[in-house]
Amino acid sequence: MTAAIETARVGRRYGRHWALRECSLSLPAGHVIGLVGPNGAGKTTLLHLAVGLLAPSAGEVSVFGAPPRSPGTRTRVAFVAQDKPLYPRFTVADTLHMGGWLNPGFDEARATAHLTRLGIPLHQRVGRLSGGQRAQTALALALGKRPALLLLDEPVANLDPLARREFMQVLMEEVAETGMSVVLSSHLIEDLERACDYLVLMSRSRVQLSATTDDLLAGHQILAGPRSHAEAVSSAHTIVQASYTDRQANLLVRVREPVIDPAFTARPATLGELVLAYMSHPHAGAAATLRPVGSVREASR
Amino acid sequence: MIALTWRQHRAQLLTAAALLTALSAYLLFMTHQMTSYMASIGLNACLAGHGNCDVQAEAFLNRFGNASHVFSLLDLVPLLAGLFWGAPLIARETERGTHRLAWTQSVSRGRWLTVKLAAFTGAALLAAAVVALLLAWWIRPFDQLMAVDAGGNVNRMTPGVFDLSGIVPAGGALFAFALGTAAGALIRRTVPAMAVTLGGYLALWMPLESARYHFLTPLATHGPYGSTPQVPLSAYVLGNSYADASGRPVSFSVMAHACLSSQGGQTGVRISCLAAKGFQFSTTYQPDSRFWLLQGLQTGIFVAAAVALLGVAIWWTARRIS
Amino acid sequence: MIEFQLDASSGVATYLQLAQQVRQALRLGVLHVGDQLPTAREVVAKLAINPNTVLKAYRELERERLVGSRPGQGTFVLSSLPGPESVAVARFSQELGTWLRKARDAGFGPDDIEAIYRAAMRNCFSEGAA
Repeated sequence: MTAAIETARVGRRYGRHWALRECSLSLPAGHVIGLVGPNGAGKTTLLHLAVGLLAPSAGEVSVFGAPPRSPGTRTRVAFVAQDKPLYPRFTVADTLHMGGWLNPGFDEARATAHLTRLGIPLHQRVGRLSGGQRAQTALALALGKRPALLLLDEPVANLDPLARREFMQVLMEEVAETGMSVVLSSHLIEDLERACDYLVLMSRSRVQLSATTDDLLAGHQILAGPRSHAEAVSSAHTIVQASYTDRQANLLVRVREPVIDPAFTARPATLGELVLAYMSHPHAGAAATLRPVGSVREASR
Repeated sequence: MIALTWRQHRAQLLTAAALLTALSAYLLFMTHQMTSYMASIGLNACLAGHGNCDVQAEAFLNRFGNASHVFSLLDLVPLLAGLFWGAPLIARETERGTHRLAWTQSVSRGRWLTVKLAAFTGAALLAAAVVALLLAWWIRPFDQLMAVDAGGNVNRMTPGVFDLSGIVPAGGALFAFALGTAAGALIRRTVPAMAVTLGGYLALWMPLESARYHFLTPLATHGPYGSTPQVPLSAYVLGNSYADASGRPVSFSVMAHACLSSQGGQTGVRISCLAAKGFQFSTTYQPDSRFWLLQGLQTGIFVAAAVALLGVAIWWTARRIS
Repeated sequence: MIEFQLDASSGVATYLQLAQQVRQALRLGVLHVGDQLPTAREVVAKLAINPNTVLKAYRELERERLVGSRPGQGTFVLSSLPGPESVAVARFSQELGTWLRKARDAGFGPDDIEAIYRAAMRNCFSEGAA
């Protein structure tokens, strides 16, 4: 299956500062991919490279096997940039008309019916809409062209909890109906935990992790046990994060198989704990992709 | 894409149409005023009769002579196309981040830009043509007076009027628009782009104002010292100087030296001596017959600059902006 | 039709929670054989979770032969689970009530009791699901 987005050591720099470097990813189609990382990690740069708003300073990026700005790719990819840019003096209806003018095959009737159902006034100027209504309008504009891949830059960042929930409901429903691929970025894992089944963790202009959430969860454990036994663990597994008290040790480890050590209680880590641990330790996760657990499981079947 | 261009820019285009309508109404009103006054003082009849119309002409010029100031006010109208259409075209999108919306649709960046450029270029040319036609109509009474040497100093060769006649306004508007668009593309913010457009337009336009009269070698006419040479009607006079008997230019000091004499304790130059030695007044001018040639040359410069700038704008937008 | 809910802070994987809620509904008689489960789209439209999570939960239930999918029509309940008889439910409710009163009289507040309960639930059920 063609990867939705494939990058080969892609990088982008401004003057001497590299906003993104040595980024090699193969993001599979048919997933909801979360792009997580602190501000300045390079998430926006990566998204802009993928939609052709930026040209790489090094390396290459391809979307469904073609350059981002090729005509075929442009019709299949939709993008909602940070702050969801729209023309404030256009009405909602104008905005959907614009979708039709700029995209062949745009389903304006469906988008209009959808926004009406959400209670968004079609003849109100976009500049006068609430944050949640603007977000839904921007989303409807993007979904109207029935994209195979939808990219969103911090889509729920400035939305109140209700608007956030409604936005994600609409997005996930579209995924369920059409199977489209989604890449959404956020600096909060909580926004993405429920929706994503694939995670890319970025930090300081580089990719730390790139794997399915299943692989990530199966590949990490939190061990709590006596400090004296921590050495033994570190020789057998990679410790991503450790915190110690006098006698206790709490370790987040990367494992190939579940750890069986009577001295420790083990539980699966949550995605939130994982992300936080890796973000606090930018040098962990040296491998760009996490494959070991998946391949071991496959081999043992 | 055409529908989007109209929807997005209709306010700008309608404002221009409204201003153009207001200007047209004003000029047509003034023209009507002038022509009815001419009829009422019998100037029309006099001009048709080929008699001496100095009296009526003076009355007319007393009343309407100052009206030519309208040209100095309108001189920079073509610049408006650059300031209000060109500069914001790309800069406004990048300033507000809407380029991240406009350039991630199925329509390519190149097509997006070329359709908008075509629309504004067409509108600018149309508006400039209308302005030029209106002013050509408005200036007719003054032309008529000049043609019978009855005075007035407004004709199509004079600087203020030349810029708003014929095809030069269209060339100027095109140049201003192209300059604004390129400035907006490179600078990415509207107000600074407008400033650069203003500066750049003046930087080309002001030198051209005088330089254009030398695109073709000016003609010269001579007359004996003491009398004014005859210059064809409606020509634009560039300057006066002195010449010797063979027509070569001389400076005043050379002339004075040749005729310096002392008489009765006073040293001076005798005019009769200058005339006797064959010194002449010389007047350089560009005749009205060269109007269209000069128009073509100036417009050509504007258009060449515009084409280059549009090329820069398109190339920069397609390749470089992120 | 069953309505799913999510407890984001429970630490239990989403698909397991969904599967568990189906089993619970079967036991308590809320779902009967032949009832249709909500489509992935309906669940996702309400909970804003990944559709694959729903499919995973349904696959788990399919493995246990509790549900089966009919292509183009949806997922339907195939068999019921022996539910606790109402007598058993009453007995457990009473035992729980007694324990709660003892804890309250010993000075435990609702938050303390909740913490004990959650830890015990996690231990009890993750033993089975791991």
